[in-house]
Amino acid sequence: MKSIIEQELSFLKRQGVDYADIRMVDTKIEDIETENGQVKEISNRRSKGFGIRVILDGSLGFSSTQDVNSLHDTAVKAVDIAKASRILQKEKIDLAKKESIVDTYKTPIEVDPFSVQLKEKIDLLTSSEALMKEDPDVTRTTGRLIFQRQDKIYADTEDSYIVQELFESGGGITAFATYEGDTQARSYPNSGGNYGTAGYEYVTALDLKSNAKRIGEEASRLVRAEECPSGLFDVVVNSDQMTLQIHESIGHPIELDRIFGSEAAYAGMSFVHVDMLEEQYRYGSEHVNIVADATIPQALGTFGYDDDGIKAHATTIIDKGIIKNFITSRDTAVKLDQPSNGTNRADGWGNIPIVRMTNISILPGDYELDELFAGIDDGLFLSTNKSWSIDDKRINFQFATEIAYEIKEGRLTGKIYKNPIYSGITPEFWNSCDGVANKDHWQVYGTPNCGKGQPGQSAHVAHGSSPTRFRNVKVGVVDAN
Amino acid sequence: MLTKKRAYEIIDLITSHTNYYVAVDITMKQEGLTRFANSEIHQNVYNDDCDVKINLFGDKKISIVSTNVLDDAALLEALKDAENKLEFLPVGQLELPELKDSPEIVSESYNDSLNTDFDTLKRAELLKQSIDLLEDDFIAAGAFSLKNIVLAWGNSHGVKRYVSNSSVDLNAMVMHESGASGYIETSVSDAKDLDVITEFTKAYNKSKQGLNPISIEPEKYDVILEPLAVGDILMFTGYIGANSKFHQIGMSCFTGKVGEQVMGANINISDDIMHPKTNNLPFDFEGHPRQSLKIIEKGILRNIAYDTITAMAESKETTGHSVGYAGEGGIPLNLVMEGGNSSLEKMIQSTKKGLLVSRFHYMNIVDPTQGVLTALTRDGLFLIEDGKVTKPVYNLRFTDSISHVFNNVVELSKEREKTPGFFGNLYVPAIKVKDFSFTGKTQIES
Repeated sequence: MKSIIEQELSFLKRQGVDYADIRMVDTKIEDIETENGQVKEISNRRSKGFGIRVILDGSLGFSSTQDVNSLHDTAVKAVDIAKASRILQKEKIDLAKKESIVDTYKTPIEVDPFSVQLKEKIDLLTSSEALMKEDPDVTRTTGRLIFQRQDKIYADTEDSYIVQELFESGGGITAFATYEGDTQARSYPNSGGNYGTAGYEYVTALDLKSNAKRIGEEASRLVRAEECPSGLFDVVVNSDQMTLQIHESIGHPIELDRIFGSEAAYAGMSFVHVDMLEEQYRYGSEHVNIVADATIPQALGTFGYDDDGIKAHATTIIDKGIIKNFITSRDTAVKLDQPSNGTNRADGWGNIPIVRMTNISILPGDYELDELFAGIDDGLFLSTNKSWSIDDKRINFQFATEIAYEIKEGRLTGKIYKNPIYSGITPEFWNSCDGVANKDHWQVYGTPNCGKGQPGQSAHVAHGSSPTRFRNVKVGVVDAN
Repeated sequence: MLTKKRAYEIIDLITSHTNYYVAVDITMKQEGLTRFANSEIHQNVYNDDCDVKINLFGDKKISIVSTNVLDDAALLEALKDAENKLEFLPVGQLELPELKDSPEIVSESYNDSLNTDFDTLKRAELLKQSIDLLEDDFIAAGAFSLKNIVLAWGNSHGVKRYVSNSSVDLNAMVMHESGASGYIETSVSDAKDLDVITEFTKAYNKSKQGLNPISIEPEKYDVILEPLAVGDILMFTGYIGANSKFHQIGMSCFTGKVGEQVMGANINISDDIMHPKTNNLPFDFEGHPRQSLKIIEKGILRNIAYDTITAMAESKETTGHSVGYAGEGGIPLNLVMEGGNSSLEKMIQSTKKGLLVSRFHYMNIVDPTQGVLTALTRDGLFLIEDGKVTKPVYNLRFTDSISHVFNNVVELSKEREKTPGFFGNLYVPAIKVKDFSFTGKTQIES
């Protein structure tokens, strides 16, 4: 394979390209879904192909093929596309400098998830479902496990050649309870499950069975619970919801390609602009410390090298509330006269890399969870994402969570509410943060379906957080009929 | 381009090498997409992929393996994997009926001339001509693509299906440096149906109208929703309101309401598989012929869409709306909403105070059981006063229910437009809705 790739890179150099890379990606997925104790679907998917990206006289072309025998034609096509791009080009694409790297990387795993018998995986899900269904109000249960192995080769005209073997594992369970015409869901470990770059040991550690009965009972209580009240409340947002809060209102706004307008017509732009670095813009309170770290063990946004061939590392994004950096690629970082911080990633072989989140996390604070509750006279503890929406500048967000736990006079009362919704304005919300729980409560949740780009791409990212307190948050909506 | 002959060869190779009942579906997509932002091409890509999915049946079990490695050896290896996996699966509860004695379905709409008329060079040239017309303080962003798609299906009983489609898709946002923007989105299968400059001009004009917006408080307003905005709401209505799975698990706002009045008497919605403005996909992913459905007739929920598993649960026949064998329910993909006698202009004239909504951003379901949706307005929100559009407005968030929206439609336009859906297109009018609930603003108070 190496000789074939190097042959085409040599050809591209002879065509006079400024830069070219070839990626071979071979992805194998096992996806197991159960419902009501029965196998719903088990699918094994494989997708293998080659993507070739060239920059010719400052213009970009990308072509891809599933057929290695078409690799040369694909290289020719990529050059032709780059020539067409020149017709409408104001500014030549440049790339930030980087080191040439020849290396290999493999996700550290204890148990190859593809070596575990299918029966064991199915039994784990169906036995967990049985435990959830012990509660008579639980009318439906679901379970899912997904395992992925991705073999990648990245080679470029700057003499980098990187081979990666990446594993992902994860899953989750959900109980649906029905009462008097209403249906409510409770999920574990999060809605849609939780996923990481790891082997089967990650699924074992999720301990689905030990949590199944509790989730079933909680669904039953939830469907009989009162509707969440509306108004301004102090809230503590649990880690399983913080993950999407960070994702939508920090992760996406700090993508430098979005800030430059690359996504303007589709996913949108950002209220963040590059001058905010010099302005020392206050994104949040002093409790808000955000890091993009692609090296967190087992986190879903962890890898060896991005698709620019940049080694994974950590970058401070927000320090004590002040914005310090964006997430960048070589072609965006160079505009700020910076090196790339290694977040350029493509979905499979058939797409170009674009700036994607890695593991964007809020660092833990000093509070015990009880201390966060203790500072609230009348509030809510919001847990497990149910719905999300945010505007095209990432300013106005609205989230629904599966459950809200009542906080009165500084402690949880045991009362729960269904259908909680909260909304806010991004910088106002993050500036209302006055406490983050400590490292003992810090958890990472993987998001395996982050959408961006045209054609649409899905990225696997993650967010670490501890439960976090926010003041005067709008809960509920005005008359949703 | 995957020809019918080659697709059927792949199907025959697989079906002839197993004693199990097997259904094979093949998806091929070739797409060249030119993406532009800040009035220049910044991404320009081509992808060619073909995926073969083997669905193997036995002992009330289904084993599914898919691959895009298409040499004979790799395909037979995938088949072997499916057979081996089947043996390890627990016996299921349902024996899915095998599809037999069903005539071949072929629909070939591949348009080779589009490959010439809209190749990479032509797309770049057309974009340049359009963007050159913009004044210096306006920029354009969007995507201009050419797609060829083939879906083929076949099984052990010799049942075969093949459909090919070609389309040219353009979406473009023209934006003033102040942020005021206008947007168009269109999809055609014939070169004569697309005038790129005309489309750009529509977005350009709307962006000019959006200069110097005012801020208003979120509350209930009468709204006029342009087709792109209506299309988004209808897409989610079909997904949670007309999907048998959502009904059966109690997660639809219309659960138990088939035969009941769920919308105003002026609302008629169908899933019309023959409608030329929607998608050419005459069979579903179980190989069943797709049936047209009257979903809403004079506001009454008449029919919902089924796949085989959800149909069997109610002792019914599938309507041919499956997306696979997992029992995800039927999903209507050819949604068409009947228009009325009004027009966008008449709706504006009849509005004392209201808002004109161009389109929505990031719509999502807040609560499926109540049919509550939320989204932000985008690329043109305008205040209407005394029958005239008077001022552009900063974007707002709405949170409202499907039932409320479609029970409060007071006017529908005669003109209808294609709008994008989860898969392909919908065909919808503009509508005027009373008391639409806006619940949030999009400005940072500083």
